[in-house]
Amino acid sequence: MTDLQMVWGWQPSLYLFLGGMGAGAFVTAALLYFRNPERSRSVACASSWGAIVCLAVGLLCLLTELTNPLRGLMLWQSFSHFTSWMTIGAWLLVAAMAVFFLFALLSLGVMQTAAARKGAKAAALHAAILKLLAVAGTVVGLGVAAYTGVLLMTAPGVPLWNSALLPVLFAVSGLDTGVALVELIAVAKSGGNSLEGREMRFLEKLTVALVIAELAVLALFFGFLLGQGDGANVSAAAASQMLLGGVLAPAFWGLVVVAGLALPMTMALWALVAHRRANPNGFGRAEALESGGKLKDGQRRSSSFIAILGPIGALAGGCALRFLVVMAGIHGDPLADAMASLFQDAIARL
Amino acid sequence: MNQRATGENAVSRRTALMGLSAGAAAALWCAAAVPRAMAAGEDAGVESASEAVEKTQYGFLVDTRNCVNCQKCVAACRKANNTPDGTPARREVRLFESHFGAKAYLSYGCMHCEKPACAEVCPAGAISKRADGIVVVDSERCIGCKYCYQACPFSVPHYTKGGMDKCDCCLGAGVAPGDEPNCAAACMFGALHYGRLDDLQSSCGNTARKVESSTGPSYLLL
Repeated sequence: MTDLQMVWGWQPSLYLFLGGMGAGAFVTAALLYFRNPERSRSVACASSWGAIVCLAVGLLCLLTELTNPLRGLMLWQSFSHFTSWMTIGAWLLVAAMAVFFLFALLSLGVMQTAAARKGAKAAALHAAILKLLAVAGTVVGLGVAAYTGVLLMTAPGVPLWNSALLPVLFAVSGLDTGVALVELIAVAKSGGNSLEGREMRFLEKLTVALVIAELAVLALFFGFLLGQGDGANVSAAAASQMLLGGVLAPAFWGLVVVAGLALPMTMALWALVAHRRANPNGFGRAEALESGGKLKDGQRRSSSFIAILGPIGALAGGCALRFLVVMAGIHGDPLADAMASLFQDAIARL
Repeated sequence: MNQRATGENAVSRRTALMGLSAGAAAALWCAAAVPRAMAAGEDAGVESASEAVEKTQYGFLVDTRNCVNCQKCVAACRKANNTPDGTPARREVRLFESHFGAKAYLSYGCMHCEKPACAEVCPAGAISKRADGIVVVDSERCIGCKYCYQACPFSVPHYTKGGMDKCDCCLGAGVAPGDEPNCAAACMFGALHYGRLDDLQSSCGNTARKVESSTGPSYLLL
């Protein structure tokens, strides 16, 4: 009963993680683009390429898990049964990749200059199309992030997963890891100067909000499961115990809660407070740098290290969350319930 | 059934060829969905026309008072369906104990549910419920994603190189749909019975207990 779920190995877990992170990264990129199309364009562009890679690798993971990967590759045949959320999700991922790709392509610097060279009209059209793609990508992206939870929710064999809160949890976590990925991309592109300070502050605030939301959803998720006690929910409660106090507890508390939630929140809050102290007038680090305050190499390295610590923790936590929820997915045991009723019938007959 | 399978395969082969030349998967999907929808329409016609089987449901009845865990049903199942050593059989005998120490064995396999969750979640449409209620897997379509295992409340589906493997009431072993599958035929103690669910229920004076699940298992217990 308390054996871990092993029929699905690491690939489906990674698929769920990458799907959520990729979708979240695009949604974050689209938000940044909306806030400041000029300054955020290059980070938004790089992030949407990153999002495409995440979804593509995720789909490949799903395919390698199959006992018949070659047949699985023929998506149009193998994913053709639309009562299955695996089918709906696979095509949602393909649609998301198509939209992300168009955005990534059109937001390239060369495209921007090419449109600008053709005159004001072309530039305006280019900007309008990008905004439209950003909106479409956000919608599909949110769908993909929630879908990763729906995939598990619609498997009735596993009571732990049959919670409407699971898609919410995975969607919030997907956005959270997406923000982290974008932050890492921004740091990788010229040490964080690729985004305006104001936008980095925005991402930090977003991180704080998402961590709070995720903690609330996690509490509700486990609260409901532990609150119920009979029937199929016995195994859901057992699975929750496994995560909160059993074999999976060290990973759950250490990776999901401390590294994935507490660390990013602390780092983001710290950065926000430090920023406010240093710049009471509201200037960001990028502006500070521009206005002559050059950082020494060592300083820059240490500030980059601090900037990536939170996002790396968030990614580790988000990844661990998918692996742990999949591993804790023990089946219910309706046969045992049926036999228990049978034993009671026998006693009643005596 | 056979006709339907070949018809669908022809469609998928055609779309497969179309797919080779096209990169845009979305366009492909539309192209594949239309003939498939047509094929689905044909299926409905085939099913309503097929014989006079109205809402038949074959299933099993286990009289747990008679089961002694002799494993003859499991051995017969393995033999008839060529289950290799090292691969789990399609049938299993499990021991249950009550709080008061009473023991009972139960031989079980696929429950051939009224609303099979496995068939619903299968992305490839490889699992179907026949007009006689038997749930079967088309190994030509199965991709082995193991989603059906997660969907099945009884953890029945397991996987071999050929994809998902489970009880098909010995249809694959050449037993006609209404006939006794090898497991029930092998039971010497009158524990494992097979037949139409309503016949099985009336054979014991409607005293059998149905296994409860949202999927509606076709499995009776005594």
